[in-house]
Amino acid sequence: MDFMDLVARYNEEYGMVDDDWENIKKTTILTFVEEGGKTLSRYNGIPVYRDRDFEKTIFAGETWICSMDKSKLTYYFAKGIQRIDSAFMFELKSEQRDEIVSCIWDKQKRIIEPILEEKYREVAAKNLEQATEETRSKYEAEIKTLKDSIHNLEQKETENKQIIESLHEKLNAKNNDTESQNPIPSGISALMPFGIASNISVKRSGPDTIISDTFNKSRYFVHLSADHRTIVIRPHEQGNVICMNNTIILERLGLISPFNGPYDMISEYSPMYGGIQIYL
Amino acid sequence: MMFIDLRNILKSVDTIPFNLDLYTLAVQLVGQRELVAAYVFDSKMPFGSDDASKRYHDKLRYLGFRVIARESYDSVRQEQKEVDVAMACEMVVHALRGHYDVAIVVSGDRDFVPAIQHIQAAGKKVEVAAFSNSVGAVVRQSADKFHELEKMPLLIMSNPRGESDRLSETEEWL
Repeated sequence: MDFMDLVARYNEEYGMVDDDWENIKKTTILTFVEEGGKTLSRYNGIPVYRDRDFEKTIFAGETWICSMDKSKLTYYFAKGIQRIDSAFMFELKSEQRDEIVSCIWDKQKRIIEPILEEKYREVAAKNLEQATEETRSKYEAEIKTLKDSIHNLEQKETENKQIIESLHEKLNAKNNDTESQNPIPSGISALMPFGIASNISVKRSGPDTIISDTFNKSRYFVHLSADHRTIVIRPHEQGNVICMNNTIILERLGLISPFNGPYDMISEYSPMYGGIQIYL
Repeated sequence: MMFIDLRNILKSVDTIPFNLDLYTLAVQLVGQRELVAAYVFDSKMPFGSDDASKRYHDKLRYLGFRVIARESYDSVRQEQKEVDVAMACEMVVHALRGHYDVAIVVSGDRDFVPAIQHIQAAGKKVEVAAFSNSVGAVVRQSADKFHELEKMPLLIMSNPRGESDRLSETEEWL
């Protein structure tokens, strides 16, 4: 449907007087170009110049709904009614837009279709790439987590093996030397939790190493005060510090408290903290 | 009820090569008393971004802390917004509703002084716990009791091989 057909249809549907029809016949859509230094359009091959009132309104490259003055035979003049641009398109009602789009599609399908196809391929490829990247990074993160877990478990297994070994050694030693051991009086063990004897002796045997007979559990939590004056050692089955052969090795202990040879550390059982408190 | 300003308290120990054990901190500060709730206030990165603190927050939640993380971390200026006000509001609201008798505020930030005064005006006691290097005289004086955290054994020590401890993630995101 061209512009005149559309006008004729509206004439039928809504009814128009003859004057309207005459005006509409003068109305057409023109695209202006620069030709020989002049801005003009062509209507059936006849040049259409801008009306003098519209020389500062209509420019080359623009498309306008114009009213033409056809009084001259070899050239016409055009007055702009409405510039057709994106703003004009957006102001149209959706039905009007649909009609225009449908008209364009019918006439320009051959040109538009390959452009749309290419655009669709581009968008699809981009989406696919993005989805692939997201999936890859997700799986990589999962793999990393699993590797970390495996590493931690392997480390734990090694630690537990060492603990079991140490306990076996202890058990063997006890079996061999049962008679020589002095049993702890039941009263004291009831008063002192975790089997800690009343006389606590903790020795510093190395920069990072402390030894005590009371370190008879396999795992401990060890906490240091921020002023570096106190250490509290608490037995706990999930403790992060492993004790072997009554010996605890603590990372960076030598840094916070310099070691000048073995010595007995001042220590006591602290009911408040539920563990052995050592003063540095 | 305990209110922990996480960034403030961790900032005080960021030069020390040991991790702070928040669980032990809560246990030691509460002592024999009944703990109603322990709130931890922090900021977090916007949803969808790679936020290393999320794991630490999850860990704290697993330990029983109520973590309130506001999406207000300014990564350019490296500072958090809203968190202090959120914590102050929570402290005052719980006090006015009579949810606790003693508020333990773990922060040396002077911004909390007005909130502390309002809580005290509501008939509740306020204990402040902080490291001496991050607390001023005004905060100390406003509290009914002050706990010097540097004297409490709260830093996690480990074996030289550095086995995974309960809060080892702290270093990763600080």
